[in-house]
Amino acid sequence: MGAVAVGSVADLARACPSCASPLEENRQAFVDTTILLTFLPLIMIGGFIWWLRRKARQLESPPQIAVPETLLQDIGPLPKKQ
Amino acid sequence: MPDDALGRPYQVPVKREPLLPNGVMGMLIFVATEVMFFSGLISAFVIGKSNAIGGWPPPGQPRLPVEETAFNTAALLASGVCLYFANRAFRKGAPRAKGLLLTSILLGGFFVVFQGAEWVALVGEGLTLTSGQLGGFFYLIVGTHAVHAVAGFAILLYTYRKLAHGDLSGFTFWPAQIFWYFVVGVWPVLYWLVYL
Amino acid sequence: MDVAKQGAARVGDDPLNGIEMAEAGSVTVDTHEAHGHEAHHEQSFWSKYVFSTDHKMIAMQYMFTGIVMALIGGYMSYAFRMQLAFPGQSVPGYGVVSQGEYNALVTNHGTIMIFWVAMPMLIAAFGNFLIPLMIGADDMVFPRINRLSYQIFLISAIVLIASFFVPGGGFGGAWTAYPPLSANAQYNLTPLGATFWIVAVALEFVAFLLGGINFITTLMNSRAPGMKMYDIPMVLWMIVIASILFMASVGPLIAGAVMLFMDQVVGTGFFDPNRGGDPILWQHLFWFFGHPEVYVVLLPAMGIVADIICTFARKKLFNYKLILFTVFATGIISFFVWAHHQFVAGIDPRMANVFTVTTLIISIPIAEMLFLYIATLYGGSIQLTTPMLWALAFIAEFLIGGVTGIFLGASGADIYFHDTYFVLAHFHYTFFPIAIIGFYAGITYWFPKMFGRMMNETLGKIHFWGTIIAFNCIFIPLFILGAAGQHRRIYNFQNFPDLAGLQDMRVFATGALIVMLVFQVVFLVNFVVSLIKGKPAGKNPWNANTLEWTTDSPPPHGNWPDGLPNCYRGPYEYSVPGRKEDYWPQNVPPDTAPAE
Repeated sequence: MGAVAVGSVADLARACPSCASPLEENRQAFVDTTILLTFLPLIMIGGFIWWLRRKARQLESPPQIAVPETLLQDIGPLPKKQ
Repeated sequence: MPDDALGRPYQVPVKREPLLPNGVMGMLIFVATEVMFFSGLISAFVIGKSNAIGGWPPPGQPRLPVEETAFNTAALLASGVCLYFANRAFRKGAPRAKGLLLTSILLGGFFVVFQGAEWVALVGEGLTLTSGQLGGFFYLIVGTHAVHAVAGFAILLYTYRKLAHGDLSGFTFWPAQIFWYFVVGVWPVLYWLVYL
Repeated sequence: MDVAKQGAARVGDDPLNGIEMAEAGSVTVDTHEAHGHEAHHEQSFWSKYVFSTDHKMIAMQYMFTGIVMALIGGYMSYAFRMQLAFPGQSVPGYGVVSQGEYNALVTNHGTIMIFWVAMPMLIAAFGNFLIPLMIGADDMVFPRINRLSYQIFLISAIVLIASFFVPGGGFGGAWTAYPPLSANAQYNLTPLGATFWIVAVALEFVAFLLGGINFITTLMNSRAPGMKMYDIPMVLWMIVIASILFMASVGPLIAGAVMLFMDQVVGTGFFDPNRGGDPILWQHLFWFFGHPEVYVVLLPAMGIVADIICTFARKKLFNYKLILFTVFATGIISFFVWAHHQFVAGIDPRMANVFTVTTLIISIPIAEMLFLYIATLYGGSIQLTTPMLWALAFIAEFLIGGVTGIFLGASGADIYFHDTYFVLAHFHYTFFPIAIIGFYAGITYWFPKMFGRMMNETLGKIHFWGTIIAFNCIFIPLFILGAAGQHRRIYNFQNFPDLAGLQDMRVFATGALIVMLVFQVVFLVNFVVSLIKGKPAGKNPWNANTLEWTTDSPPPHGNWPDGLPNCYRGPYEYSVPGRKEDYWPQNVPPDTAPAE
């Protein structure tokens, strides 16, 4: 709600004549390109790091050793000593 | 056994393979910078367009050749696809890698030449750098892309020469491919923004 | 068995150490003489000092170029401050400063100090010198690109200096180069100077772009065996994150620079409102780079300080991981704040509100980092050496810069403070700690490694106190003047009745500036004298842990001729309980006694 208020009353609160371009399209273009320029590098860097990490995980995951299925099963109560 | 600063148990150092070869990594970083460069140009174009009074494209200016460039765009995309298959053949060591790479280079060269012819025609129609915002941005953005296309073309020619001599390694070929994919990939975006 | 071999190598090394040191010293001296001693080297003078691909030599080239440019920038500040203190009078050593010259001096002072001093000295010099040495590599991964980077940088510096000697003089449109002033020769009256300026700036960016590729790739791919992500010294993390920020933000500015160049030379109208262009567009493209740039130069200085306070507090860095993640957060937020430079430029008020909030948010990670540094100091056995003094001064002075930034980040307050001397004092309180204090901290700390000799502590401390006290005396009066409404970029305040009465403070600030500049002579003397006859440093004079202290000082070509080191632990294992020594170098295997 605060964000909506900030967005809608900003023009009124800032009573300065040069604060707004008369062209609504131009104002919107600045907002759009700001969003593009801000998020594009973050997405690129984030994506690159995520991809590298995934690659690193794949390289680092320990080699799987074949373990006989019997070892993994519950062998039940220990046999009694004789 | 003493642990290190973060409480991990001591391990014998193991030299790992780098995640990416140096050349590939360096080229990826460079291409990321180039993407930002082009998004700067695109942002400037969007803002320049929004300032236009009387609609875009500005009245009284020559129209951009949309259809011819669509054909040219297809040629450039085909060049990228050829390069992809050339790489697959190269990895297998197949001899058709050479032909595919050459096709890719020729298609790239065709794109550059066709673009040049288009420019000559447009200049003849009166669209120049100083004729207005459309001309300025058109030559700026498309020209910047053309410079990259020529550079990529030269790099691919170099790899072709090495391939022909049989001493091309993946560490040269992969960065060259990344650059050419960038040149190919950024073009449809520019076409869509500037021409359409 | 590996351990035994290392031990033997070390014993064998020690008697030779002194001899090597003497030789190394004489080689260093040779750099300052003519070409007469070339015969001693296997490489010629040109290939060793000028066209070298050795990362250490490139670091020196960047550093000395940066020092020369810093002297030029300091001289410019002297000339225009004298004009402000004694308007219209002839400045000793310069002459009368005309109005156009005043603009050119102010513009190029800012440009030089940020792009030709802070960037080469902090990122390029320390990055080139430290990255391979601290990760245990023999060189950068792209040595020839590295050399190309310096050559382009040198050309850019020459172009910038040349801009003063072309008809019309140097560019005078402020370092931010806002059009239409910068785009039209009929407004700025420096047709050639403006073009030279933009070409120099663009070339400089290309140089650092090439350097940045090198830094990031080297840190990723060439680390010593066993050095994991959290074993990398903090200074390297920060230099590399700064490079990433630079690479991600510089593209739009290069695009803007190309457009501005075409406006100037070809006659396009990208930024000309009369022809459908948009001058605000330049401000967006400029500050999209310009604000991350602040963090690009801040982070290396923060990293240098982190390494120094750990070494001289003999303590582990307080919460390494938290600091690292804080740096990541800073990097991410730094892309959200740039439009706070344009609160009065006529941007969309909705955007101004958002950027106010983000600007206030970015002070949180920075404050957090300073708290973590102070927590590192807490309870340590602090040694007040010269580098430590500089590091502590960085924390204190940068704090003032950060706190005054809060006023400017709030868009309401900024409408009053915008373009006053308050802004000027604020960013000098950030950039001076970053570029000058950060550099002095780094050079006094790594001088023994760079040149194999210790710097003089007494001279170092005289230089420190003279610089710090004078620095505060310059800029605290400027805060007051700014709050009184004194606008930046004004040639003579005597024409303004409300401001003319504050002349005493201007004279005081100028006097303090002269004192500070004079104290820099102490540093230069200390530098040269220590270079020639300082005490030999040995491998590890500060008992530090990181890998660069395990090779000879200065490191030979290839850094570790007997084999590259391994890494077994994090970089800040100081005062570990149960060990005889209070340090534990990264390359010592865990189950052996510490070497030396």
